[in-house]
Amino acid sequence: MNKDIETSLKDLRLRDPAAELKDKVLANARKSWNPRTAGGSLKLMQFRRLLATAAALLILTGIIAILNISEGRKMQQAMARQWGNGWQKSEKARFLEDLGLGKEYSNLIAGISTEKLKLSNISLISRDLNL
Amino acid sequence: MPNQMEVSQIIQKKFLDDDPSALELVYEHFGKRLYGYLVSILRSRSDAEEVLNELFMKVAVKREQVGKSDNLRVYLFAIARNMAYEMCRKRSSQKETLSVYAEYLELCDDAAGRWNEEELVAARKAVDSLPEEQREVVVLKIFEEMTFDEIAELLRISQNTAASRYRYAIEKMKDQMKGFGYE
Repeated sequence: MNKDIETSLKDLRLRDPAAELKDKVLANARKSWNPRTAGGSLKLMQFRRLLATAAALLILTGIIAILNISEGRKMQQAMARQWGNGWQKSEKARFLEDLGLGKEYSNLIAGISTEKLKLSNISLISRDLNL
Repeated sequence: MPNQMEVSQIIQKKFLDDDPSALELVYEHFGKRLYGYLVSILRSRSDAEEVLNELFMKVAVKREQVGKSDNLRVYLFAIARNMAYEMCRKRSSQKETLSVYAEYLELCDDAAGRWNEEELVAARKAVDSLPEEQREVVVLKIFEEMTFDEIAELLRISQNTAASRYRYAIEKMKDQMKGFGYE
């Protein structure tokens, strides 16, 4: 006997979803139905999103500020160091000039670091200066 | 007992009258079918539950549009379909994926005497082995009892395309179930 597949398939049905699903779905749908509840949850969601954005912005600004401050400090220190070095050098050069050394030699010696200006290095320096 | 069209009209009137009892009626008449349809697309019960939950929330919010829709059933299935495919796009991994959609099919109470276990297994396998687009038409036509006109509107294809997909699917299933007297 020939059977009709379309008719036979109608004997099949989709298995029912879990019974508790109905309560859950309808409870949530009813909340969305009520404009006050729906609006409230929507506002709360928007507030949370706004709060998260503000917090992220605040953190970002804080990080940028900290980086800027540390960078500024480094620059200030470097400038101060440079200024100090320059001032020391000119003072040394003036002193050497007062001792009767030529201006170019005074400047050259004043540029040499204090460590190098030890007695043991005098011979090297005099060689450099062709003294 | 009111027919499908009358039920839809009653529900739509309730939506337009701002009567929340419409939600229960929607669940009663379409909940199980929408869930089955979602399982057929998502192949995951938990995802289908999630989408069904969101769908009902959406329906509650957009009740005026739902109340004014031309065909409530097609409208609801269209929302379900869009949401399900949206979830498919977002879903990174397949969790709790059903090995076969057909596992979700069972025999109606009065049909038990007409089927044997082997035939049932073969029928489930035949439905499951169909290409997705053919299976969708079979699900909508046989299990949801939609007309080709409604299927065409829902899937945004022509009626002829819907009918031919259905025909091809039936031929394939017949071929697979030859051994059980289907010619």
